[in-house]
Amino acid sequence: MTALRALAAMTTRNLRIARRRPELLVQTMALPVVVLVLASLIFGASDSWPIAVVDEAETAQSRQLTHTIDETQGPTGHYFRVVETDATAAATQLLDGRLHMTITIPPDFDTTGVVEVATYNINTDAMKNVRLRVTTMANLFDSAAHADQITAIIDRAKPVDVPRTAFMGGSAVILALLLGAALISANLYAVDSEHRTEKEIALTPLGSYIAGLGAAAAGWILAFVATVPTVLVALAFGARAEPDDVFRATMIVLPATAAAAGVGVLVAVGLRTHRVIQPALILVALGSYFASGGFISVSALPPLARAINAWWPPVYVFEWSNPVLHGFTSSPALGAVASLCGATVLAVALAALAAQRASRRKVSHGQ
Amino acid sequence: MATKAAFALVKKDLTVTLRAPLFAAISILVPVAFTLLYAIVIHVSTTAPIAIADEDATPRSAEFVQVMEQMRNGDGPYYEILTTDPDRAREMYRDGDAGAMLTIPQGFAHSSDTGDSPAVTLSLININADGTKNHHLRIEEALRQFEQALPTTPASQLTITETTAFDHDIPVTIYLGSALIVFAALYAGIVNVGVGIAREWEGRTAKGLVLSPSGPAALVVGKWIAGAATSLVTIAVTVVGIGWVLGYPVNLLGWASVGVLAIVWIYGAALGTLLGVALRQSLPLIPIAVMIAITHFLVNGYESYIRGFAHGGAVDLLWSATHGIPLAPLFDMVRFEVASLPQPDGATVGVIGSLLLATAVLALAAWRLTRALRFSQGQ
Repeated sequence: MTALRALAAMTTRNLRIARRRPELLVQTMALPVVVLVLASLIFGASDSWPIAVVDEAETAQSRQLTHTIDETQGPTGHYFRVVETDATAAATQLLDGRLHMTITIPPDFDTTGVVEVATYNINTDAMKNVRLRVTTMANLFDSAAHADQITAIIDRAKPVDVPRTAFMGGSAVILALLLGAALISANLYAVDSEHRTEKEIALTPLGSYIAGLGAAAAGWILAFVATVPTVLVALAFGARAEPDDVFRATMIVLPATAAAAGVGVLVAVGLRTHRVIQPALILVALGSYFASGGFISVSALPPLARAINAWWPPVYVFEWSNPVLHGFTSSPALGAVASLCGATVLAVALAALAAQRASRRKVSHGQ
Repeated sequence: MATKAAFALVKKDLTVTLRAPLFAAISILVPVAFTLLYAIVIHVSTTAPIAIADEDATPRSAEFVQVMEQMRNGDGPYYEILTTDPDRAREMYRDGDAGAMLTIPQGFAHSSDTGDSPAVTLSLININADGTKNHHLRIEEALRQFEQALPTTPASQLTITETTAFDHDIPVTIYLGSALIVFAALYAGIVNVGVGIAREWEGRTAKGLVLSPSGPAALVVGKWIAGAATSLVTIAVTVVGIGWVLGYPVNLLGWASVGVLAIVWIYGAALGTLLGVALRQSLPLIPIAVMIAITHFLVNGYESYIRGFAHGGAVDLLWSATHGIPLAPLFDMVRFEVASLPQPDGATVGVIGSLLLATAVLALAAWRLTRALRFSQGQ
């Protein structure tokens, strides 16, 4: 009972510290929001590439081609958006890199069938997308005269794709929870080290493990507060989830967030000061978002990334919760939930143990 | 006297680093870890893993698979074919080990040879529309290449010729690898200098330094030199790591790239100085520094890519914002040098503009440092 009271007191005290020092929460709120906004704008832009189409032939056949360009599309929508038709302006914009491609239909198109494509070949990735779109357009154009050509039937697991920004938004919410729990717990624990209150806690009858548990508990609670802005931004970028799916996803996310809080305390015990703890947690969390299933599913990653991710815990949180969140799996596997609960118990126990052991080390700062 | 004081400060900082090397180690390893994590997924846009259920199992279906295997650009193959065994392919797709499965049905060869509208089925776990688009575009290319090799297919009505703005495409490994190296320089500049300055307030030694006869300039110069030492190691380890993970041609980094990294570091150090003297604590400083560095990496680092998309909407506003911070041409300078292309337009503006901006930020920091000599925590 005494231990529970001490834990409650420690948690309450940590929540008060967080209320008095809003930067503890603001920084955890801001990071996922900034990453989500930038990634959504840069990588989640429409699949319709702005291009110039200059029709110098102006015949029925050339108009058929321009119509085909307009109509070229895939399961996610149109592949081109014609923003320029003037030859001089198109050439200038292409040289300036304001357009990735211009398509010119020369005057003798009807007799030669030649189409001139000019590209601003800034990198192979952009050019791959441009050239594959041109191929898709050519297939569509040829299909008018050759109806028996080979086709691909697209069979999707769900009738409507999850937009890229919605996928990134859902993952950003998970990132905000994990990073929030780890960073807030670590920072709260480090407050004692930086503000020289370690000694007082170490000298209490219960010992320093209460400090570790209290920081983890407060970090876990505050992570949900810190995630609110990310949720709002994710909603603004089109992320949607059914309440039932959200509820089922929490079976993964809740224990994972608690485990992250335990890891945060462990990191803080090892690294001690804010200036060392913060870059370690923040950059590794952001790297994990991009490389471990937050940005794109692991099954689509290159072999090296898949091999590394087999050993990297955050990936399982993204990979187990995203299909549930977006309605691709009815509920998380029992083994997944059990694994995460086990990981949570282990992380929190190790955090308490590490905090207790830390009280035996030399205390500096004149304490 | 100021020079002597600055070097004394450098010596003190390096001694602190030697006695407690944890911060220096984290400063070096953490940005390296981020760049390597980002680097290992760069090829995601090039190569799409797919399981193929070849139910036809004929030479003709094998030809189609071969077409898919051979599709590639300068960065690598377009497909990573996980299996062609139908049972294994279905198992991988069902278990989520493969996000895409292509089924080549029985009778595919016969239909292809007779021109009887053959069809393949592309099954997709469409949890991310980007994957759907990537697979659709690739299968269109595979179908075209395969079909045009068939004797029954009439010639295409279109002949597509291409001219390019540059001599050759910049490989995406160079494009993003260069941006990651520039990011490392920027991050190292901001964090090492910023935390070095904030640490004097956290350690309650700032008052003596600022009020000493040497003046605050010695503090800034000393922190810049000490920060440069750690940053050099960060940048060097990042370059080696990127070279190892991406096969980045490190040997092609020339003097232009070295100059860019120096300018970007100076810009970062100026920002770090401002943050250090303004915040005086590493608790808020580091997240802000990370946000600044990541924002520069994603916005300025991708500027020449997003420029072509910036025709209306929020992305247009984002691109317009890059005009205020002239760092984007610096990212391109490194890329163009490593890709053996002539330096891009705007390189001079980027160099001069970035140095001027760094000077302005540093002047602001100096003003902030001397404007209000307030010391808390008993200082």
